[in-house]
Amino acid sequence: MESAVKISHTSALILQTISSGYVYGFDIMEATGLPSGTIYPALRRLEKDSFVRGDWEDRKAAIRQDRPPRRYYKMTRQGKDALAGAMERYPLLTRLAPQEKVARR
Amino acid sequence: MWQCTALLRTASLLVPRPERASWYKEWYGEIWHWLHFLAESDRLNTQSVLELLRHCWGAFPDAAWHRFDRKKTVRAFEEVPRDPRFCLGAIGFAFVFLVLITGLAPTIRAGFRSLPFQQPDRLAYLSFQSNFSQYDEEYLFRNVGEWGPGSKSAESAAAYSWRPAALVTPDGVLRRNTARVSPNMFELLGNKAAMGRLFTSGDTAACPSCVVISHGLWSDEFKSDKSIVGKTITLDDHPKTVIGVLPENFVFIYPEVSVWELPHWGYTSHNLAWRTGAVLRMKPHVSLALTNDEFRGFARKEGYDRTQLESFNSRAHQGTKLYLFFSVLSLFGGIALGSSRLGGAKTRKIKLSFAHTARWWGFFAGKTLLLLAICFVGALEITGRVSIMMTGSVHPLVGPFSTWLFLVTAMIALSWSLHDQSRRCRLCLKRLGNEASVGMPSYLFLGWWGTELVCSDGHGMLHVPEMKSSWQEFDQWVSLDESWKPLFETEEPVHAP
Repeated sequence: MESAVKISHTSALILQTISSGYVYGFDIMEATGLPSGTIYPALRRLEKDSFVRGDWEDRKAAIRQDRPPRRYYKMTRQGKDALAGAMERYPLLTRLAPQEKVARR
Repeated sequence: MWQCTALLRTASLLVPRPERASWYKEWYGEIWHWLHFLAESDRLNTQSVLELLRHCWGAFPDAAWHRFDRKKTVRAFEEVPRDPRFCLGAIGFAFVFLVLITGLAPTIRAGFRSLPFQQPDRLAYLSFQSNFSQYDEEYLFRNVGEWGPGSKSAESAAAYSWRPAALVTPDGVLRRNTARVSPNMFELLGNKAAMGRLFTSGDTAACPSCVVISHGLWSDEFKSDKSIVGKTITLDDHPKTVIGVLPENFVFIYPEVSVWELPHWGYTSHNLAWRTGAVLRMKPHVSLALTNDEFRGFARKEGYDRTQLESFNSRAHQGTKLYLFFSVLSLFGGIALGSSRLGGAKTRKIKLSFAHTARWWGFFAGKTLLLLAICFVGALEITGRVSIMMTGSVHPLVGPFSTWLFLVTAMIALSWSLHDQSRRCRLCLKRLGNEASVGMPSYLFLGWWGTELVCSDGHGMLHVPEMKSSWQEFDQWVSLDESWKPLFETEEPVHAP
């Protein structure tokens, strides 16, 4: 049987934050309190290893509102598994994790 | 906003070109939204803008992530210093740096250069070895002036007496060595002025306050002033007139002298014996031994103790020859020591090819030579400069001190070179790592205990006993076969921001 993928505490916190509904870089940064120099490289690694998937929002919608498009991050199935494993390894993570986001700004 | 854009544009240069546009678009979008959120929520103030700028700095690590693989970079930082090329490069860089900061090692270059005098093989140097005696300058100059014409072995003789003095320059007051010399000194040496003129026989009476300055002083302190001849400088509160500048290659045997003046008659002036002496030009085909006998006789008759006569050539080159001899001796000693210490460890378990053996000893010889060269340049150049900085002159202890400094640093360098060599892979010459203590110290008589080091490329493992049970016990090198390879392969990066 393949052993569970081990991820670092920071990566787990970011995955947890994304699963709580914080889906773009600055949002995650604000929710976790981690600096941008940590968040973005971590997101790149998570995306490279298929734990999250980054998608550009609909370009037409952005143009309609006269603003640049954003890149949203979404957890993959592998990411969910990794987070579940991490929650067992880091039981205190739930206390650090931000509350569920009610509505996207 | 423009500040953020500028930061992002700069950081984006780190991102590989195919990903750059998408990377910039994401960061720009994030900042745009952040800024507008601040403006809409009426929170746009200096503090929030500064905070936003601070976040923009985060674009640099993110961009760097795109350019460099973290795992590979960290591994490179760990591995590169182990590489033999890094070792040689670092030592070579230190050597070049040292040579450059000393001004291309002028003392050593002077040691190899032919002396800037006419027929230097006929020049000799009479020094007084007494450390505590003081001689009357007027008496010395008159004595030496009489020895020359009365000598059977020398054509002429000139006395000198040097001391540090306070020299006023455009940049302030400097402590520099000045020498009083007989007026025929430069004539005897056979030098011509680079600018103006040098002393002549009649100058003692006609131009008692005239001075000649060294090329170094003229170029460094007077900024190569073309009109220096005829100008007045102040030396120990006395005005002196510059009549000439010595050529650039002129170097007095000892010490470095910046200002040359004529002796002063009519008042008593004493100087330490080791700061005084005489220069002789021997007659053609006269041996140094004959001149030595004659002039030591003159000196003894006038009450000068412990005199020594040396030829200019031997005086100028003896230090360099001694150091070179010791460097070569150290290198061969190191190789001999290395072959006994390292050779045993090397050949016990594996047979190295000729190419590997040549590479092994070539690296050791190159590394040791470079280290000895650093010691050589450092000892010869730095001590003199430190002495000038601290005392304003080249102290007489500089010579012995630089020799001892060279000997001590050469020993340290050789020891380190041997130790470093003993901790390198016998195949790739990489410095071994992953030190592990093995065995139980208290079981000394029952089992082996010591340290094991391994080559990061998996070529082999070195067993270093903590205590050698006999003089025949060496460090043991064990080569690792192909079955060990997977253990040393680079792992895929794990998630560790």
